[in-house]
Amino acid sequence: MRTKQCLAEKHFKIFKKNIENIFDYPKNVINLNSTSFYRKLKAQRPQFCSKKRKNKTMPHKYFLAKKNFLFACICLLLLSACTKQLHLAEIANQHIEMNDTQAQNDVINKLIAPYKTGMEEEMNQIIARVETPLTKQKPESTLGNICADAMLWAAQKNDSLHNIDFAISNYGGLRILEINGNITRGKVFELMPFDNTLTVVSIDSTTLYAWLSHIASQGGWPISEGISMRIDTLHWQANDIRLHGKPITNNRMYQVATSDYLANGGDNCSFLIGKENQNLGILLRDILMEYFADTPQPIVRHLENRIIYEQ
Amino acid sequence: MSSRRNFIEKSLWLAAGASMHTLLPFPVWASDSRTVRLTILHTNDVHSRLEPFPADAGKYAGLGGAARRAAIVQQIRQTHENVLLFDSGDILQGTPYFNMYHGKPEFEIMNAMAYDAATIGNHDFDSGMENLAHLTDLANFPMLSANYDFRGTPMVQKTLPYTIFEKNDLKIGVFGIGIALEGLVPPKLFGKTQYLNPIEKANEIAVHLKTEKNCDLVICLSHLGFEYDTDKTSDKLLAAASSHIDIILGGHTHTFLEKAYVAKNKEGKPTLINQVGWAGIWLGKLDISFEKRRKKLTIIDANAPIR
Repeated sequence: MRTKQCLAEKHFKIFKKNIENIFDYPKNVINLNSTSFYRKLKAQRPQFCSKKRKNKTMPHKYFLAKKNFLFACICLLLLSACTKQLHLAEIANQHIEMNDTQAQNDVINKLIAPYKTGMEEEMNQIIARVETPLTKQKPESTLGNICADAMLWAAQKNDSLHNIDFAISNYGGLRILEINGNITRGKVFELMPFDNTLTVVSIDSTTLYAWLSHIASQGGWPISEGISMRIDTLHWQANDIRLHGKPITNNRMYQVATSDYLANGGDNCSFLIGKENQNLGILLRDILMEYFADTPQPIVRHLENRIIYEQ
Repeated sequence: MSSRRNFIEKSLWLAAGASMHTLLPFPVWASDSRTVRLTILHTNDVHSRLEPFPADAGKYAGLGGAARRAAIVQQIRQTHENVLLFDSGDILQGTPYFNMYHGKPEFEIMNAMAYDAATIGNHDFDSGMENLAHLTDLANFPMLSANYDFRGTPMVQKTLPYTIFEKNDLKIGVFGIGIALEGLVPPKLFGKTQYLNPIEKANEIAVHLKTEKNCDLVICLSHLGFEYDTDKTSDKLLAAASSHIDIILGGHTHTFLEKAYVAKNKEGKPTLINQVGWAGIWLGKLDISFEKRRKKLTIIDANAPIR
């Protein structure tokens, strides 16, 4: 008897769940016990309870009378209860490298073609040349140095009000790892795809320390000539900061050329928010193009110990 | 007793009818195989890399390219039964194509490859929200975003928090989660977009998909990033703080995961995190099988590139 009751309860639960799912039945109705639930259902949805089925050739009563059919119903019910959900059994993961051993899809190539033609006309112009590759690295790199120097050069040229001390770019702001051979316009677009503009920030020594400490915690960012520091790689702190060979002093303001992105607090430079700054409105990309073209060719750069790691 | 018995009979009748109703399109008793297979293909941080890297690009020279990806995707679609293709954001920015054409070819290519869904990365804001809204209209697939509130911006009502794919007997729930924009994207580019707690929203949606929508699999397309040294929200932290996400397809940190990372969720069950670097150098492929019997999840590292 106990088992029968349990079975009845179980079926009633499944029944309730199905009713909830299919007919979106109000919850208060579902909470009733089985008998009153059936009464309520009959009152509100007589079509589900009516003994007169629409199918007149096969009356409902006839079906219920057939034990075989009831058995089939139970089988179906149990089967569906067991197999309704599929279970995650196995995940095999892999990555496929896109290299020259692979075929190319023509539809995509045809789609790209007109864009490519238009882009290449514009981008394939050669503006400069390097013989040993310019690379991007931490703590200091040839590519990072030349970009920061370009920003300092442009700021000194375009901002007559300030005496610019040095320049800072963020590491993530330079978007390629290496330039070699001819530098095309397209290459500079890849290096500096963002429409960031040159901005001069006026900061006190506390903010400058905060900035250089942030750079040290990141393992080093591109900085221009004029400034140097050591990074203690145990604590990732900035040590021995020198501007033109001298330590930073507390009694003056510093004029730093950077991007509007950093000046507005980007790349976690929240300490620059609200500081006095002047956006010169010149695209960093245009500055790089001009600087690369103006540098004696081919461009040669070496590391200058602007930032070095110490244990 | 007789009325009770009568009732049980009736409820059985109804329940049987109801389950038939649920199952009718693909009745289980008609399916002969006990295993159902699904293949998930995914990319992240493609960054406008339509073509392979040029010869002077250092270690990535000659790698990547949308035409190759399309060929492989097409081949996999022909040989595998249920295939879905996703992207986890930063579709845009990084080559002159983006500077000249503002994302149009990128989205046309994704349409041509029949991507099934994508989420929004921080660089997808780079050409402004007006343009992103225009690109979203261009897309033949939904842009999924559950934790950016776009009210008051051009992106309002352009995205979906989640979508459900029905493939044979399978229901696959997919939702998108984005990274905090403050300090990462210039404020003028994201405008009035409100950033909502990614873990709260992810859990809210994952529970809904698993328990109310009865999804067999819940996938999060995330642009949070794989992991950080700090307590910044990452895919790892999201996995550990959730109970109903089966797979996180990540992005942002450009992480080349040699094999998918198996995290433990809140209940100690496995959540798979995968990320395939950037620039379309890799295509991620997860071959998933489902069985009618519940058993322990097996995770296989099948990282031999197919030829």
